[in-house]
Amino acid sequence: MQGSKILAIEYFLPQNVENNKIFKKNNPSVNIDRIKAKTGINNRYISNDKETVIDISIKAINKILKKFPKNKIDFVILVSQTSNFRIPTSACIIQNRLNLRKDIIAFDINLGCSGFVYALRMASSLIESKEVNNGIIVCADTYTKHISKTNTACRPIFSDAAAATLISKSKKNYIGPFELGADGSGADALLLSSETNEIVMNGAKVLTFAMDVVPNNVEALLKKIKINRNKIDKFIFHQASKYILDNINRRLSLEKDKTFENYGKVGNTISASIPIALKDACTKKKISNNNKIIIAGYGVGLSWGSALIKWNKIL
Amino acid sequence: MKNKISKEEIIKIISKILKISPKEIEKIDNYEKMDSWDSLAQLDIISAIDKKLNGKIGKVKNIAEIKSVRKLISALKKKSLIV
Repeated sequence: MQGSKILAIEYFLPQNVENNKIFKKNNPSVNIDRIKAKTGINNRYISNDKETVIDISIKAINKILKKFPKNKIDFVILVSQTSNFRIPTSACIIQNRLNLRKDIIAFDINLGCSGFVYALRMASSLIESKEVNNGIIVCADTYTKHISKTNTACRPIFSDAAAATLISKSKKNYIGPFELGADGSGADALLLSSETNEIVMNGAKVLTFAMDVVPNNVEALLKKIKINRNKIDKFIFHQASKYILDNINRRLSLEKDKTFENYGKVGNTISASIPIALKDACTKKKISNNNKIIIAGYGVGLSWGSALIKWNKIL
Repeated sequence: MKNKISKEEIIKIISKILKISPKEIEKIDNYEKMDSWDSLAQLDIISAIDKKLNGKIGKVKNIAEIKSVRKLISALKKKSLIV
C-alpha cells in the first residue's frame, strides 16, 4: 500500500482584525467580559468586501508553492461553505488562477468544522489508490460575510481564514485510521438561510452535540487504533471556543499538556482551524517528529470526524 | 450517587446561575422570561448538570431546548438520571 503524509501547511489570515472592543462598540448592551470568559477569543479576522474564499485560498496555496513545484500537484480539494460561487466549482477556478496542470483532480467539499478531517480521508484515499502522488487540501471560509455586526451569538466567535495542506505519498503511512460521522437531525444547530443571509447558531445545541459526540468519536477511534490514550502525544481538536473545548477535554479527562489550543489568537476559523492549530503547534515546537496526534473536527451538519496522524518533518 | 443528580442539586445549580431563589426557580415555567437568562446561561446550566452526571447529559434528547426545572427533572427521570 502507498502511504501518505502531511508535507506542508501554510495559512492566510485577512489583515482586518476585529477585537472585543469593536464588538462592544457595535453591541453596547452586551457584557463583553462574560462573552470573552466563555469563548476565550479576543480577536477575529474579517475578510474585506473584495476578498473571497478563492482569493484567500490562493494566498495560502501560494505559500506552499514557494516550497513545492506546482507541476507536481495532482489534486486540489477545496473545503468551503462560503465561496462566492455555487456554480462553477471553486476548486476549478483555483486550478486556473494558479495555472496548475489541467490533468489534475479538482473538487469542492461543502463541510464546515469537520471538513479538514473528511478532506484528509479523501486525499489519503486518492494517494493510496496510486492514481496521484501529491495534492493540496485548502480549507477556506468567509463566514463573517454572513454574520452581521450585531449577531451576538456568532460575531464574537468566527474568523475568516484559509489553510493549505500539502499531502504527499510516503513509503510509511502517516495518516489514519479515521472515524467519521454525520447526523442531519441536528441541522438547525447552525445554518445559513438564503432568505436572511445571516448565520444563525443555537449555542446550547452545538455545546450538547460537541460534549456528547466528540468524546464518543475520539473513544471509538482509540478503540479502533488499539492505542492507549496515554501513548497519544497530542490531541488537537477543532478550535470552536474555550467553552466547548474545556467541556470536551473534561469529558475525555485530558490534561492541559496533552492538548493544543490557539482559539484565543485566531478565533474559530471553521475547517481551517485544525491545520492552523497543527502548524502553530509545530512552529511552537509543541509537536515533533513521530508524535502520535489525534485530530477531531465537529460542527455544522451535524458532522464530525477524528483521525490519527503521525507527525513528520514538514517543509 | 455517581452519574445521577438530585432535584435539590438541580435547583441549586439553576438558582445560582440565574440568580433567583430556589423557591422561585421551581415556579418558573420558562427561564427565557427571566432577565438573568440568556444563551450563555443556558450553556452554563447544561455544562454544570453534565459535570454532576459525569458526562451523561447527552442521553437526554433535546436537553438544549429544556428551559424549566419541572421539564428538566422529568427528562432526567426518563433516563434514570435522578437520585
